[in-house]
Amino acid sequence: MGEIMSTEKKNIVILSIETSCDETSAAIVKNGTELISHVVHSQIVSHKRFGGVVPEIASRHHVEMITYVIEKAIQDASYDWSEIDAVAVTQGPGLVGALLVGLHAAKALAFAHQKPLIPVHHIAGHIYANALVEPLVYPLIALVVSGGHTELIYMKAPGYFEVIGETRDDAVGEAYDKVARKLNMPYPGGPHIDHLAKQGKATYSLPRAWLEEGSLDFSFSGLKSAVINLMHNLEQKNEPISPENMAASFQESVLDVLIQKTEQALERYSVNHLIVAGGVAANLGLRAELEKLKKRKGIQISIPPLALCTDNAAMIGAAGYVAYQNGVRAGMDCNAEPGLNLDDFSS
Amino acid sequence: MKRLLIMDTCTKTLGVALTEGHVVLAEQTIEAVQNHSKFLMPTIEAVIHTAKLTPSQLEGIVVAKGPGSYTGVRIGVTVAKTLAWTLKLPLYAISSLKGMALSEQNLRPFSGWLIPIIDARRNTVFTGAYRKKADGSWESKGDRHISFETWLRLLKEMNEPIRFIGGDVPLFQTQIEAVFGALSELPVFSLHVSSYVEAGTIDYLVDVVHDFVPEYLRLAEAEQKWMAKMKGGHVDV
Ligand SMILES: [Zn+2]
Repeated sequence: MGEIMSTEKKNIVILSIETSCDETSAAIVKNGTELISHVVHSQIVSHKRFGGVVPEIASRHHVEMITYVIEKAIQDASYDWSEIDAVAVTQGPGLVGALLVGLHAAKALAFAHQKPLIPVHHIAGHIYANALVEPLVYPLIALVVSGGHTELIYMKAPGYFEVIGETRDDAVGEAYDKVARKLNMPYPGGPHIDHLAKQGKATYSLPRAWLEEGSLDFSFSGLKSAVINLMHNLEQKNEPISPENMAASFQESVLDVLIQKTEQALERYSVNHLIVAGGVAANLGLRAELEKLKKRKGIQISIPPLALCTDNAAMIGAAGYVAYQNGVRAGMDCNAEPGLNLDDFSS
Repeated sequence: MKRLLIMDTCTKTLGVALTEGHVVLAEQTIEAVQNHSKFLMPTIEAVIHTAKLTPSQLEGIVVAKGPGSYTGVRIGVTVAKTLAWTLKLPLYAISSLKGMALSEQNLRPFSGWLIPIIDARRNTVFTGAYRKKADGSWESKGDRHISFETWLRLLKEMNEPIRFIGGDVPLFQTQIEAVFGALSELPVFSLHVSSYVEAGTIDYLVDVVHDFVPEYLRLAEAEQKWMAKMKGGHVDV
């Protein structure tokens, strides 16, 4: 075989799959930066009747949709298997039964077409969603806020993750959902509270959980309970409750903590790039506060577009590319890891 | 002669086989698997490699579609439908209960009704009744999820020779003996998915691979409660 010297870098095309919660999603991503095709099937309509995601139902829907979604991603890209270099899939964290469906589809495809299998950490995906929009500038801090996660992550290099702060109880999106339920708003509650908060004022006094001096960890269950207790007391006394002001007070308390801890992290690790990701990154109140932070600190802040903030496979393809380049591979015995640790995933 | 990959992950037993016509090229059965997720794909890989074949040389996929453990059933069905779709192969689906009956009949032929039992908790079972007729064809009384007590009563009323089969039978031994008298021996059961080759026929062909889902035989608990609420009645679990 003759030696072919090429100055042209070979494109790496990844088929990615994400089924960690209630979205069945597949994507084709080129070089970790270019989104060729993207299919997301949301089950939210089905789960709404239960007021939240039911794991068993989520798993059943994934089986119904999985091959449709993958086929559409491949067809939309007009790619065939000879052009696909690897299969990336969310290994965890997430709902185990849901994760298993995507993982097994991915394993079957990798096996059938003899392609490498790349396990991806869901949060790494949320962070790398940004790589589909603009290049990441290392070192950086990532703030991941969603229904399942509230984390501050320090990244000194591609594929390197150090969790420097995380929630000790409820995720921020979870607190939003619970407070929304108390205010009689439908699931998922986050966008409703955000909308309501804009019309109100933070007139109710609610706690902020700073935890011990210097900690970058979060805690939202106390705040959630404070809202519920306050409303209960007001109801007992037959005093009127302003849902707008309650939402505004709750949101202010959440954002105070999120922004201050993030600012502390930026200072401690002296980074110039902040990435904000996860479903709660769509929150307008949060976006407004981040805008102020950006002016105050003179740093670059990236928030992926809404479609890439919620759970999706495109982000798994972007993170999968970095893992692929770092040599991360999984065998056919790869198992779903509902509690997968991000620090352990560093490559 | 069709080359079939056969798999069953519905119970604690993991079974994978590769057959060509009625020849078993390779078969692996692993009992008491705690984790089908870790073992199914490596076993498929091993079975195909043992036969010195590659995935592209397969000609059909056979899978036990349930009932059984929700997670186990989903793992098998997801792998089977993904392989069938991506390799453009016919997919054949067989009841896990019939699979048990076929395994038993191959090993210890019986002229009465074979009663496969899969524990479904709260003293309920996934079960059915299968009998191989003299002409070689099978008759069945339909798979069901039923309280074991009720099932025993129905079987007693049937008043025909029966044999309980499956790894979960010992769990129900006392109840069985209370109705039918002492079992002469504790049934030894072993699953052999190569005997499902019978399922590689047109009767079991899945029309639309994309739409193929497990046979759970039971709604998810949240759905049962939701349906009951919609009807305004009580929860019938
Ligand atoms: Zn997420």
